[in-house]
Parts: sequence; structure tokens; C-alpha cells
Amino acid sequence: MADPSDPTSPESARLPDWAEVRTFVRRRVRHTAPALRDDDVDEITQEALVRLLRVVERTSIRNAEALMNEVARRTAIDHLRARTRWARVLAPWDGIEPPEDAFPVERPLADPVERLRFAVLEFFVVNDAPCADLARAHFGGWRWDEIAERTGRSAAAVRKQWSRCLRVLREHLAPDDGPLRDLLPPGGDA
Amino acid sequence: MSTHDPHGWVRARLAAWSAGVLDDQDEARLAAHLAGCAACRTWAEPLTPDADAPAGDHVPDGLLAHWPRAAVELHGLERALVRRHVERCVECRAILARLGHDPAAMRPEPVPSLVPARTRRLPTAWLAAAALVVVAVVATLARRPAPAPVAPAPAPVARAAELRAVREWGADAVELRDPVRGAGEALPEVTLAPDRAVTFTTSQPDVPAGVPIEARLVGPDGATLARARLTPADRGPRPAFVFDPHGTTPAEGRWELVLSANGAEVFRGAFRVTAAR
Repeated sequence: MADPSDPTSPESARLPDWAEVRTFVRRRVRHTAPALRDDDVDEITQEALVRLLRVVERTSIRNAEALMNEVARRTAIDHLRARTRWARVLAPWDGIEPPEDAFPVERPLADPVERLRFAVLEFFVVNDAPCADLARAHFGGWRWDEIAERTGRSAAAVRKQWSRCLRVLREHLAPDDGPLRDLLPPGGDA
Repeated sequence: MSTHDPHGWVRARLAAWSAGVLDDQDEARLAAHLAGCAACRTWAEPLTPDADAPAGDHVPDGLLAHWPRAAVELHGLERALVRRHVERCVECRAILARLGHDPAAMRPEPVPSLVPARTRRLPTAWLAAAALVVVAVVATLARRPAPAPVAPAPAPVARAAELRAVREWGADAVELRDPVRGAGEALPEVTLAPDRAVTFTTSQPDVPAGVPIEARLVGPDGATLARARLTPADRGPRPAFVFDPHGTTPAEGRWELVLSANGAEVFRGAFRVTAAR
């Protein structure tokens, strides 16, 4: 039985015309975050459209308008939270007391934390490393003891394996000139 | 950053901490510092690891949303990884197409391998192409009185073995059965070569139509060799997958194709691989 309150319940529905979708989503983003500048709203709208397309790619939709509404609202809220995270990662902080309200001068290209997770997992996937399975489980929200139980090992052994995986990745990042090296600095005091 | 500036040491690792990619020693050290430093604790609070954060199994939405900017600004290993993912991810390519972006706008960069370079095998086609390039360059230089500066050619991308879902297959597809047969029974025999792709089909697992199916190919040592995702839109009368070694040498022995949906295994079919002679 389909749940009428769930916009992704497996019933047939289609997104309206793409221009209409964009206009609708932008309006809902603006409604959720009325204080944002127009270029911020455009940016969030574009991200909401990606999310919407992912949902449509993965499942049938029942109520297109409810889905668009929900995706636009959540994307706007997540974006505002992410901006605070960017500030904490990227804003300058030279002293012991951190600044109260610091934002990076330049807006980053996507959430640095999301980019880091993607890069770590993808690196292991591309190299066909067993670390990929561990990364998937860890990023998927499994605790170390749960992974240990599933794989028949101790939690300490799983944690050690993850540390080894990260060490190998950092070795490969050492000569890299991209932002990943800054986001994943060397272990210890280095 | 050193122990002389413990706050700076912590700050430099907040992104890694938030993403869950600190090793055990650094994580313990960071946690100990946060426990005793109210200022850093306040600063770090929005970055507290979140179990509901994206799992990193697709290019971040923010990068796809701003693809033209990403194509210009991303560089190094990150650029190579994003490009490689989009190359094999049907879903990400479909989204880019819907947004009117060209996946090829991200030009290639090589991904460093975990395997030492001297032990890796290059596909014959690459070696032949490289030989031709060398011959052509030598011949060109021999004709010219003075060499002109030449921009370095982009390095070839070393591709990993790939498994991808397909809707159609030919008569030569290998049909796998579930459950895995006993040790005494004959398994389907598959001859694999580095430059030869093979198609597998399975019976239709008991999975609702709207649920995606995850497939993984497991090698003789139990390691996952390649993965694919069968989206509801790609579901045909039976799941079918093409395995392309992309120049890698397949290991001989017993392989398995495992299908899962909603985190539960729904199919496991085995076959025996022999290498082409």
C-alpha cells in the first residue's frame, strides 16, 4: 500500500516541464531562506535540482509537487548549515580565541566535508582496494563495533585497518597540489 | 602544525574529523583537546560528525550543480577522481545531461595507483600507441633543424576494472544461478582476458520495482573487484551486467556476482574463471 504522505511512494507521477520545475524549486528555496541574495538562491536552486534528479533516477515518484517542495526546503536548510561548516573549516583563525562570526571570503565549490568523503571513498574504489568496503560501511553510518561484528573481527582490528587505509591515502596525497592535502593533513605532529 | 600550537593542530583537522577520516591516534588526540578546550569545542560544534551526512558514494551534488566551475577549479587527485566517477556513473551522467552540462568538460588527469608502477601491466593497445608516438616524434625531430617547445601530452588514465548494468545482452552472455552450487558441482566456465568484456545475467531477484540493486563482483580472494548499480529505470526482464577488465589481468579461480537491495543480499551466483592463453 502506498503511503500518500510520502512523495516517493511507488506510484506513477512525472515531473512537470523542466523550466516549470526550476521556477517552482527556486520559489520554494526563496520562501525557505528569504534573506539570501539572489545568487545564493540560484546556487541552492541548482543543488536542489541535482537532488531532485537523484530521487527521480532512483525511485518512482507519487506526488511531484510535494517532492519538489520537500527537496527545495531541505536543500536550503542543508545549505545554510553547510555554510557554517565551511566557515569553521576555511575561515582564518590566527589566535587562540576563534572569531565569533567568520565566513570565508570566497564561497567554496560544494561542501568541503562532502568533497573529502567522496574523494576518500572514490580513491579506494578506483584502486579496487578492500578499504573501499570499509569506507562504505563507515560513511554509511555503521559504528566500528557493528562493522567488526559483520566481518567477524574485533573493533580494534577494524579501526586499525581504517587507520592503515588512511595512511596509504595520505602518502598518495603528499605530492598532490589540490585541496585534498589540506583537508586531510599528515598524521601526528607533522 | 605542531604540538606548540595545539589549537591550530585541531583546527587543521576539523574537516577530516567531520568526514570521519582521521586515524585512531589523531582522533583520540583531537577528542582529548576538545574535551579540555571550550573555545575549540564551540568552534568545532557545527562540524560534529553526522551519521546522516552523504556517504560519499557519488560526486557531491554541489559539484554537479556547478559543473562548469568545477571543470575549471578542480585539480589534482580530486579532479581525476571526479572525472573517473562520472565516466562510469550512469546516474551522475544523466543528471549532468539533464542540467545541460557536458561530462567531458572535465578533462582527464591520471589517478595514482596503490600498486607500485613497476608491477602494473599496460594494455597492449597503449604500448602500441606509445611506440607509434615515439617513432613519429623521432621522425619529426629528425626532419626539423631545431626542436620547438612542445606541451606535454596528457598522461593516459589508468582505468580500473568496471562492472556496468545493461538492459540488453547477446546470446554469449553467461547465465548465473542462485544459490551458489556445492563444491562437487560444475560452475559455469568463463575465459577472461585483459581486453575482453563479458556479460552476465541472473534470474530476477525478488526486489520491488522501485528499489535499486547493487551488484558486486567478488574475486577468488574475496575482494570486491568491481561494483555496479542497477537503477529502477535500468531494470529489464533480468539483471544483466558487463564486466570489462580494462587491461587488468583477471585472477583465475572462483568468482561470484552478488546482488543486494536495501542492504540485504538477494542473489549470489558463482562461476569459474580461466585466463585466456
